[in-house]
Amino acid sequence: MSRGPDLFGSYSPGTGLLHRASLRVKGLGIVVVTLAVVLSPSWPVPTALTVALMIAGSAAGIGVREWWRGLAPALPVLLLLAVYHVLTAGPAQAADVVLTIVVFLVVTRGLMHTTPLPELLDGVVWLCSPVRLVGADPERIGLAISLMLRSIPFIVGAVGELRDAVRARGLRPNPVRLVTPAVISTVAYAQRTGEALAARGFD
Amino acid sequence: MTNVERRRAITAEDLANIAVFAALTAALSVLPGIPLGAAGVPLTLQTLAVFLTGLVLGGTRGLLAVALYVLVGLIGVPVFAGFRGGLGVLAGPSAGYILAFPFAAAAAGYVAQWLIPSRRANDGGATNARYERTGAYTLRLVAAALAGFVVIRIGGILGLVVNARLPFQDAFLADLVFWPGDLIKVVLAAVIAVGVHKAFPRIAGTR
Repeated sequence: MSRGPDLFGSYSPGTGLLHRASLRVKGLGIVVVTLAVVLSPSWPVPTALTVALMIAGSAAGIGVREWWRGLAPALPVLLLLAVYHVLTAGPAQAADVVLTIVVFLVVTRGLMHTTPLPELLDGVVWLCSPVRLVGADPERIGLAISLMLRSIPFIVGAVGELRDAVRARGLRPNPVRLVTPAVISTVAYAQRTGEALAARGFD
Repeated sequence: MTNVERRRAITAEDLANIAVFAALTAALSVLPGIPLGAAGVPLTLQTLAVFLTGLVLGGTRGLLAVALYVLVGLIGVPVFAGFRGGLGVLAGPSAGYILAFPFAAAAAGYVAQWLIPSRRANDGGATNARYERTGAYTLRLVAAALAGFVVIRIGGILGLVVNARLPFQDAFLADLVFWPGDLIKVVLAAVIAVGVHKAFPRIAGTR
């Protein structure tokens, strides 16, 4: 069963500068990069940032294969966009549009590589603290996130089993045949999870 | 139709449903596409999962479930189609689609609740012969999922205009490519939701 790459984060330990920086510093860095890219009028800014961040990331131990895994899924769309903008507005705008997207792919790689997922989740719970204003509890968002991550392997497994079952009966796996029972077992799983939460005093 | 308790707190069951349906959306998004029809074009089931979540959980919980999915994807867990994830997605051309997903689920869910009175749950649910005539029931769910379809178009086109810097007309044409697949998924989501509602009559009547 292929569950796909790094579902639980692509963190790998290290002692470089990016690894030692706290999540807050990295968050601030992301804000700065975002502002720089959004406010910059043309392509040299995203280009410089891309190069600088790739150097920093490589220094933190991101190898060629990992960069490739981060960028490859976006390549077809980036290529299409580049061609479109070269034809309609010239290479400068094409470079600006494409590199603006690439910068954020690089940032994401760097963040995921140097920060363990639990730490990232804690950061998100902290970012969600304004929901207190509307009477919600940010810790519940954290609980929901961990419940969700815990459930993904169960569901992927359920769909895989159904696919095998459909094949074993010589049928073609069409979506209705496959997804309906998967969703039904998902709902049943959710109800069991809800009962388990209630049994542990969650109200 | 009679929602006695207007603002109900999130119960343990709601939280579990929200989390598990967020996981379902993630699972269906990253699974390899299922070959469809004679041409065998593989379709990912991302938008199918979005519509389905709205139709099964209803507007409010559907919104929260898909919003949770989007949040987790933006943190960097690769749960978007093609194993993508992370803040970079926000800068990409598909940002509009992804940010529209929670609202699409909400639209599908609220319209479904409006078209299908919640008293169904108290009438005996799946054993009630009236609801076994699934033709009209499916059509109503198709209409509800179409509301989600429209929301995704609006968000997606806006995203293409802002992030890919396409003029509106070209953005619309680029979006048009996704219409056939998404329309098929609207129908599929409705058909699947009918099956789920039959299996769990209680969930169809609640929000």
